[in-house]
Amino acid sequence: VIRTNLRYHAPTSVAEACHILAEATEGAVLGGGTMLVPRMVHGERNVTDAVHIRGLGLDTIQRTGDGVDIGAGVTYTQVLEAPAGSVPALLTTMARGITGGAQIRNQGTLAGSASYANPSSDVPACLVALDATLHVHGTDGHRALPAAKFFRGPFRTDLRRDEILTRLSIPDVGVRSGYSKLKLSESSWPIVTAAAVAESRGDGGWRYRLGIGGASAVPVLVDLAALGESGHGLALDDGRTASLVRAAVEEELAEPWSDELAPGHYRRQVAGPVALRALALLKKEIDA
Amino acid sequence: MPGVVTTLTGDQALSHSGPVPHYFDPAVPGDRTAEFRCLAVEKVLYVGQPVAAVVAETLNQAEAALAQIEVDYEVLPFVTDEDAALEDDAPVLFHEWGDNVLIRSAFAEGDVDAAFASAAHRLQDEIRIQRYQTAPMETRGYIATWGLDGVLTFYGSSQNPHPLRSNLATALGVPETKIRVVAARLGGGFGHKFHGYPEEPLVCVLSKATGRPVQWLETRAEAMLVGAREMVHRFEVAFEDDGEIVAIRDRIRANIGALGSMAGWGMSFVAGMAFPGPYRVKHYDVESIAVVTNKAPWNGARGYGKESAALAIERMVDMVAQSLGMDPVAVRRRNFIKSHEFPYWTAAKRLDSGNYDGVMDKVVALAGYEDRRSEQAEARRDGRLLGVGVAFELTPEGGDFPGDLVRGFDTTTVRVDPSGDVRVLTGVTSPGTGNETGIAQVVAREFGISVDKVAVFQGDTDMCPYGYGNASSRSMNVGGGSAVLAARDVKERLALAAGILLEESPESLRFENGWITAPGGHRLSFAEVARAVFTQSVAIPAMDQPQLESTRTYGPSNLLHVPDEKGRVSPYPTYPNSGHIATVEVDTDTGVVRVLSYAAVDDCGTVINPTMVEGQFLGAIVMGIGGALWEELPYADDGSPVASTFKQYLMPRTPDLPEILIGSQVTPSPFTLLGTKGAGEGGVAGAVACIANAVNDALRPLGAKVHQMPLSGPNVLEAINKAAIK
Repeated sequence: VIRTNLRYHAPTSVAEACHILAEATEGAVLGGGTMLVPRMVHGERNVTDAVHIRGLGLDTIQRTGDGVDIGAGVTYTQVLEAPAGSVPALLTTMARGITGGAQIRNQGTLAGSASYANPSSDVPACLVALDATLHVHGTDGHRALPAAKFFRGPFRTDLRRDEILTRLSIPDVGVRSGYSKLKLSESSWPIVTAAAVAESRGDGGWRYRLGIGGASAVPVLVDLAALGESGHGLALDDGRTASLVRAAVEEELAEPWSDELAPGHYRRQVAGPVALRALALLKKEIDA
Repeated sequence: MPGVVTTLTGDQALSHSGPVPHYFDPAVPGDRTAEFRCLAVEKVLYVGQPVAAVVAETLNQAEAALAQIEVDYEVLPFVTDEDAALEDDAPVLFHEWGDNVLIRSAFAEGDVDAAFASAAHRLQDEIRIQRYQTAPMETRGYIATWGLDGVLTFYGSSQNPHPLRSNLATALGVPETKIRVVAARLGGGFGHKFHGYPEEPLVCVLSKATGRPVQWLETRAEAMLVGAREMVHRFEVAFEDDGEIVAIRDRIRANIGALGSMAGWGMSFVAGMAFPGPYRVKHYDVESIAVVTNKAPWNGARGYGKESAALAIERMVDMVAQSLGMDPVAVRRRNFIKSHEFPYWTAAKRLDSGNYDGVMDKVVALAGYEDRRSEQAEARRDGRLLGVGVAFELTPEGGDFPGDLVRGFDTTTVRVDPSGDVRVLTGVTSPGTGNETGIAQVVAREFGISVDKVAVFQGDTDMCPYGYGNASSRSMNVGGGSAVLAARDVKERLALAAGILLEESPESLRFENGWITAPGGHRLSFAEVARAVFTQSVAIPAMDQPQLESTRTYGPSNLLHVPDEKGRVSPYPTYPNSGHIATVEVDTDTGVVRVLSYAAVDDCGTVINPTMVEGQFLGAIVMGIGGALWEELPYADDGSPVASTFKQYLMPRTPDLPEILIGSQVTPSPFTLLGTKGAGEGGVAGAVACIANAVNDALRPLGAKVHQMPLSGPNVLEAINKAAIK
């Protein structure tokens, strides 16, 4: 159970929230609580001040030209229920695959998952693949970080103790995507996730991005420039592309992530096949 | 610290509680044992061993205070691997033993060397089973409170309240008459709630010290310390061209952790005793060694070692089939003990009855075995790794272990109230299986009344006759059997009274539908006769049995402890069995296994309540599938346990499972009153073995074999990698 004399705060402004965090001995941002509360219950985090961000008006999804801003309070369910085309299909697919039941999808937030930075979570690699910008606010003001810079290590982000991730900005909701993840069983954390994204170059060709999650301490972006050169889409059937992808993925995973569910060498080996599955889904999406 | 009421260290506890008595002491069958205190003194043997306790007003205050305790640990040499623990230079856990072997259990018949020498074929291999447990939905919890009269009342989730009471009296030095244990209703026992835990006397000591009721709840992380099942089998099989298995040799090492006072070590004995399963193997030599290591101790786990034996035996049978190019079903049929051979003796079992071929016929039909094989052939043509697994499980049940409070008989009181309502007070308890309903049914049947007129009371030592609670799937057998005998006594008295009131001979009366009816149709209600016994006895001439209560003890007649002319005994009286067929698909790229279909047929003798039996069988199968594929309690190199939540210990969820088809065959036991055998554990062993066979069958096109359990993605992919290198 929660061992500390926990103070619960429900600030009404981001500035107030940051101020509380700055003052707290051990502060924590409470979003949906799906990670924070169990960790406090297990005594893995001894928080003195929980700052609930529900009252900050951050639970909105707002279009921004081609892109979309997803507030820090937006839950997986909100993403699932958003009108078609208002959020990237990749995020909808990802949210649909969040297990743990409706209670997790209803409570858990994308920004919360990003802030927790569990290497095995679905969200980080998706944000990297979508080229998202993460907006953080602190007592010193606002910073905008590319997703790839936000994740610093396992369970470690660039957030300072007084900072809150307030918004995820995704530049293009219209990108085509394919998402694949490997779990050992239904209750398993993802072992490897692969988010494949194709952005139109405007000349009929595509620019590909592949985010791999779960396989290393932070999500990695795999360089697939070679695949897009032909301008004729993905030729996944030929063995050459497959081995190219595998090699590119393995090269990024020099130091794969190990935990009690799977050793690093396993993750490294399966990442290629999982990536190819995501690319196959992407190809289907493009060809359709 | 805020809220802290008292604290206790191991040294301080010494004067308040003696050693925690063993559930069953390994010194009874062997010659080694060890003492364990409710809090460790001087030396701890495993990460997680309790060293100090805090009582506080609230749980969070208590946990906060615990976190402030600094323990100065000097790290000593330690060993967590069972093979390493047997090396000459291994650190020895219990100095007086000289090595780390708790007990060696040997089971042998025939002339194994000669059989191996003359057999047409031989093979050898090893299979390693991971440490895993039963993960009951609700963890343990205890409340102790001392009354002003000096009586200790202990409420707890325990499968065996009376033996626990006896052991608390021993540990605390309190007269047994001053202790009442009330075992709470359980959602799941599985052996995890056998007693012998340090927290049992500890909570009592803390309640005494504070003069207040003290409650303790096991956290999930604490529950996950409890180990079980980790064993390695190194085996050889000799067989003939036609699939006949002529000899088996198996050397089993069980990594039982740091022993403790709980019931876990016995699983190493049963893993050997269960050989050679349902097969007529005349020559075998099995030795099972219980090895102590610096992991947390075991407690019982549903299957209780039989799942270990079944996995090894069933792998052997499949490997024989593969080696000869025979169908695995055919090899099983070739070796089954046949119906007419019962009772059938092995070194430490007299098998009661069975129709193993009949069960196999039924499961082959239920699974659509031929169709599954056709699907497999088609899938293989497409390059998919589809496997069909076959397994047969023989489950010794109802174990009786003289020398300790773990017995194969039990006692029940049946009482009829003046209202005609019936109370059954029994020494067996329900681990959540619903045996109280089954016991009510058999009593209601004796009296010819509806089952809702019967109330069954369990678990309160002040109310129920001394009994052994729940263990070894024996509750319906002996709780039901003793209840029926007691009910028959009471029925005789009711018949005597009704005969006088109806002016008929007692023998001519029928007890049906709540009425006691004479041949001519005259009748009295069951309730009227019951009331008459209380209100009219003695006053009416010859109605001289004024009391409607009987207490009877019953045990199956197949419990044999006096060695026969060949020195054989049978501590287990009943032998339910089941056949299993599953299909799985292995993902070539990732090694992840998906179970596509599952069918199983069980034979647990006479069935009292089909719904309950089916529920147990389904649950056992799912437990077996979980153990075969996912569940694991790994240790880090520094000797600390790694899994403490269900995100690290992967339990099966519904989407992981196919529809499970089940069927039943009934071959009554000739040695039990009701014809029943055990039902509760059966299914775990068959499922573990069936999935292991299915996965290995799936891997055959790659020339791969996986004998490291669980058959998780990483373990299966490693086997695939190895085959690719070859």
